Amino acid sequence: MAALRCLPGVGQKTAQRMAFQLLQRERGGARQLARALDQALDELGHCRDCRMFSQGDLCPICASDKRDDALLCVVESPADVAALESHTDYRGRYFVLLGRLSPLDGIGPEELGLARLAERMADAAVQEVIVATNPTVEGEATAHYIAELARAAGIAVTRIAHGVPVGGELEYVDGGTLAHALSGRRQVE
Amino acid sequence: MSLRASAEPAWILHRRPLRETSLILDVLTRHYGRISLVSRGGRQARAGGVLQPFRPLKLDFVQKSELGTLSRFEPDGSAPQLSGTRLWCGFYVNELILRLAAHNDNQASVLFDAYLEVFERLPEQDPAPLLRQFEYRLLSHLGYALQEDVLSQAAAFRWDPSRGLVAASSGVPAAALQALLEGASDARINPCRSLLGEMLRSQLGPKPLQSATMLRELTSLQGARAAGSGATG
Repeated sequence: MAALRCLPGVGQKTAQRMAFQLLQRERGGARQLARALDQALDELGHCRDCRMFSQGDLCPICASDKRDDALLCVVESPADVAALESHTDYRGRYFVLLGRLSPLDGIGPEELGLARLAERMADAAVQEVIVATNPTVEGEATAHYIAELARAAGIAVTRIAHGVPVGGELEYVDGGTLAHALSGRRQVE
Repeated sequence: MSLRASAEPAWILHRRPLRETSLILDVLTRHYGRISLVSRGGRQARAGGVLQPFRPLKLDFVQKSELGTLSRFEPDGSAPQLSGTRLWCGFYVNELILRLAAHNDNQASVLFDAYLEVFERLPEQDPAPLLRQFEYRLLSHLGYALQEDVLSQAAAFRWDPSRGLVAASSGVPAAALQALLEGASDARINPCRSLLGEMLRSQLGPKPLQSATMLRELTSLQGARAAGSGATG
């Protein structure tokens, strides 16, 4: 039960329920879960090119030859890659920072593998870097740093748009988002 | 120690996640200086957007030990629009306070005013002199004000950790120091940079400021680009 509590959202009660379920009714499932966890921990590493979790040296996205080498999208976490993959038709490459620059927490360029990112940018095929870090202050600061890296390498940089959510109402949007939405307005087509 | 504040003007210096949905906030307040607060549920969408650094807030909180509890918060006016290098300058100011300012300091309104002034002017003005003036105000708030009376005795000075200002021919011009002491935050005080850096280092000890390191790296990246475009153009 103590082991299950390392999961997010799992307290004493839930851990107890999960443990009894696995031991009484789902013994096969429990064995499978144990094996899967063991295997994942032993075999999963980070992709050499994009730092995404990967079973081999390269993750399936980096290994695929159907992706567009000209586009490189920089995100904070593996979950962001999953979100972009399932909800957008983006077909370029990725780079996962596994965090964001945060000087006050002592997280600098080395922790985020930005040297590797600079190497990726030096690759002649890359024509545009899309910075998709979160719109928090640290995310913005990280975006600025990556933009400087890209400009130093002579590559176009773009930042994902932020503003009013689709289906949202202006009245309920917070002030900061509204200010961003207004300053980032664009021509109606 | 029991403190109950309502609608206290404050800025968040730093936020750290606590468990799943809560935050520990380091906050600069007008009347109590730097304090640490727990915000229950502060990482959830609505609160998370407001409880961000670099925006003026009004906070209600209760403090019974070193770590207080945030009970209510609201934005207090619009946030300065900081982008690029200026955002990093903001981190620098916050890191200075986190490293040097004392907790629960009820003389902190001077520091708070200096902080307000930086963020009021940072979106538009050249950041360097703003940072220099802030550094000096922070140092003098900590009790390291420079002696104004010696400025007429020489043309240039350097700073000595044990003796304060010392005449030195290759040092900072007296006029620049005079402007700094008068509260100027324009290009006149730029020559004070090395002297203020010296003073800060003696307070900060050997551990460097992370944001200062990042600002230097950014400047060198920008410098490399300018040199590159200069060479090709």
